[in-house]
Amino acid sequence: MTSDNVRRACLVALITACTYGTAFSEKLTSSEITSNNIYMLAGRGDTLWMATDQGLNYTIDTARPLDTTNALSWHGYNAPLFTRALGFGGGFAVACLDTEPFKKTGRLWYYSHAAESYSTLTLPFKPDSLDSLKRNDAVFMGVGITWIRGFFWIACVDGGLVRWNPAQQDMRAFYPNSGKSYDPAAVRLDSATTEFTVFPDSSRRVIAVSAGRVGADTVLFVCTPAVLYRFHPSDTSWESVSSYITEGGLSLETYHDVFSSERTRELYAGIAAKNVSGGRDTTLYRYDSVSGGWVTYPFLRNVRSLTFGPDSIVYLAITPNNIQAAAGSRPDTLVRTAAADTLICGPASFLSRISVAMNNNTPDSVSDVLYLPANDETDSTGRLWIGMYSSGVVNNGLFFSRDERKDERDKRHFIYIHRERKIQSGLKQTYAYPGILNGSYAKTIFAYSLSRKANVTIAVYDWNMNLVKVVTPHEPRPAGKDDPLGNGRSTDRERDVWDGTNSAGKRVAVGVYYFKITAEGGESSFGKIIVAK
Amino acid sequence: MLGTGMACAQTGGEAGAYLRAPADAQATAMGGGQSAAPAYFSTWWNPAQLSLIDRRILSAGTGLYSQGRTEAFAALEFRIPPRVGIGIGALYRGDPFLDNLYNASEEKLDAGAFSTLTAKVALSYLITRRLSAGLSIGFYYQHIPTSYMGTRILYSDATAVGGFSLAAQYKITDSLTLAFAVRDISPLQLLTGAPAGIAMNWQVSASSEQDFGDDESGFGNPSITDLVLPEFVVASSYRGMLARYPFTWTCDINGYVVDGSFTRLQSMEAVLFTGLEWRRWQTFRLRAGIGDITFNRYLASDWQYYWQNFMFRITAGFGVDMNAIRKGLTLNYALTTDKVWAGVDQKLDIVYGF
Repeated sequence: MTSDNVRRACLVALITACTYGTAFSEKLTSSEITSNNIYMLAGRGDTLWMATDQGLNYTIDTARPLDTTNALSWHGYNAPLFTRALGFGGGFAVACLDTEPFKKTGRLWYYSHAAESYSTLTLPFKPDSLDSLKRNDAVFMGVGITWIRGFFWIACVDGGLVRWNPAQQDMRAFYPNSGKSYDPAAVRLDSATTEFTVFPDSSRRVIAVSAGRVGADTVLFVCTPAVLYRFHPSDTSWESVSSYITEGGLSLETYHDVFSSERTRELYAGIAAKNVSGGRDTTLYRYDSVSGGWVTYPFLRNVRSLTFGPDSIVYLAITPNNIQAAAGSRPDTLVRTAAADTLICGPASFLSRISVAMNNNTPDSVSDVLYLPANDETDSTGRLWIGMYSSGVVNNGLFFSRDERKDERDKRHFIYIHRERKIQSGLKQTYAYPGILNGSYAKTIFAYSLSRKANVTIAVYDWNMNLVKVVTPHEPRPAGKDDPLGNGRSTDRERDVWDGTNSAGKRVAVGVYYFKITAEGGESSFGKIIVAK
Repeated sequence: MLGTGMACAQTGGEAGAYLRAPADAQATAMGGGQSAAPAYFSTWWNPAQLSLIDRRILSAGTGLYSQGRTEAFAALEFRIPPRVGIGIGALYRGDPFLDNLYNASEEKLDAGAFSTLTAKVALSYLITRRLSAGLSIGFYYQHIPTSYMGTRILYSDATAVGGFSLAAQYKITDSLTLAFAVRDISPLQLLTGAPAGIAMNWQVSASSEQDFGDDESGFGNPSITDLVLPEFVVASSYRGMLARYPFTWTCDINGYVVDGSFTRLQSMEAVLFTGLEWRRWQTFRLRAGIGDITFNRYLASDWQYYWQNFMFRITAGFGVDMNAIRKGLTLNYALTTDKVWAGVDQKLDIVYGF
């Protein structure tokens, strides 16, 4: 472990210890979303859940007509651990949380809409029993989750596929290609079951799960790095899906993710394939049930999320800020023709609709997309939800359409939901010119730029940080992009000026002076001026 | 709020701002109040203390303030029994990081530095067992960029000799000491009819957006005179017991009544510095305090404006006796908040008594 990793681990441990010292999870009283950094979306019917970097939120009644004046009311819960996967079904929401520092077992956070209460559960695996196998990299946490046939099905990496019903607290583990099920707490090396003598095995790591349909049978597509299985919950049988790739010169190397739909019966997977020159090509593939092979979408790389829309359209969130809609009903055409034929809405269309919603700001990174049909039976109308996150402080949040097909046709902007930021002015590029006041230049102008309109205060202090003068007392200034001179400045050249006097108009002494520009929300920046006049 | 703010003056912007910050780590950790019975650097704080010290004291230290402001000092103080004390000390303060200045064409200027040096020689006389008086005479030097040619910075200097600080100290009881001081005045100038503030005289060239090389003729050298703001100090120090262990409490009140020309300020100010030192352990002393609590007209008339613009400082620090290395050696450290939330200030001193 490098020193950086040690430091990071210590920091995480400290933060977690502090957090656990108060409460694991706490209901928040605010009706706002907990954070603008949204990582995951899940929902069904009229309920939408999302995981943010601060916790979990849900809102109901999403199916009713909504516009900006008819806002949703949010319920929020904070959570001290990162959410790896989020699922909703049967009146429950389940968040698969990260493992605690120095532990290998993840937690489940779950909420009952009927009881209006939440609880947590540590996955009951016993990773210490594997120590003799020298498998210190074994991980037992949920990284994918879906709901079918009255159960949540969780991809638990070295814990296999876990079936769980929160109402019954019944948990069973299934390992790929094994028809038996096991109590997770009983899975250990000294078990009489020889099934696990070679466990954990990387080929049995379950890294993704998605619900689909084959014929009349509801199935699960369960992904290990090497094999994609079709799992039949009715008889707990496993069946591998062909790994034949139709694109010449490519051989399947690793599965990354799987996306399937009960409604459209389609199956997609994120796959890394090796080409003839030995390079790796990670992209989105679509399974063609007729030919039994995989069809590549060479232009759809780094797909982070995929959701199934109406009319065999799939919406994709592509890292970092690319959202596309592709018609998935004609895979042969998709592969063989130009990208323009396959994209119903390219990134420009989506980003334009998002940008307008954000007052012409540019969004940051898209994390998840989710299409919620207004009616589960007929998918002709429905909302598209888009989650955004940002490593900085700007331009993220949640977006949704009123009726995606109609909105896309009419080029209507998305509705934007975000938490008001305390720091929102984007103060930057602060200095004074000229920086030396003397007989030649009697005044200095404070140059600064704001990312959006905000109130600004400018004050000047002497070497001992005693106040000399408040030059600009909390006055509104425009965003730099609205500068009529085109310099990107928010400066008012008539008022953001200091003439080297104190607040009584008396000349200040020769010396160094420090100015502080404070923008609305507390953001501030310092600079220096010399007075010699 | 703005109306009152624009109408009244404060001490900010008066000459000698760099002289008004507390010096040394011990005083800084205790809020910045150390004028009554200072443990060291009495040459700066209170020359009347010099006739009461019981050994020779050599001290030196350095400080890093927020926004790149820096400090360093050194002093030697000793007593000539039975009644005389002598001290010499020098204090550097400045800002060596003037690296974000621009000319009128918004071209970045070359990096510059602001430097000051203040040296003092002090003399103290023990009048009675409880009363002592002291006097220090100072030398003041400043070096600062005052103009530019193109992006090249041009400097000016100012020097003043003969600034006086006068102090008296009275020991009311064995525990309680009271001190009075007037700092940075030039009474000798009164003989010539000039103002009694220390005069810093500058010759400043004009700036030019073009660099004419060494030819700086024709730019003129307008003269500027700044008069250092006098400081009037009332201070006390009390030694007692706290939770069965010795402690020292100090409090300074600095008053600013007149400007350098001895004209009454429109808005007079008093600034309070107070702190504690607790000797809970044999070789380790904890210190804490509050400094720069400003009393001016805004405190009563415009609380919101006062709160936004006259923030106090919270200070803390410690002293460690390092007798294991050398008898009489002490290390002091101070950490303080900044009045404008520009960062923190830190100071570190070594004191050697022998």
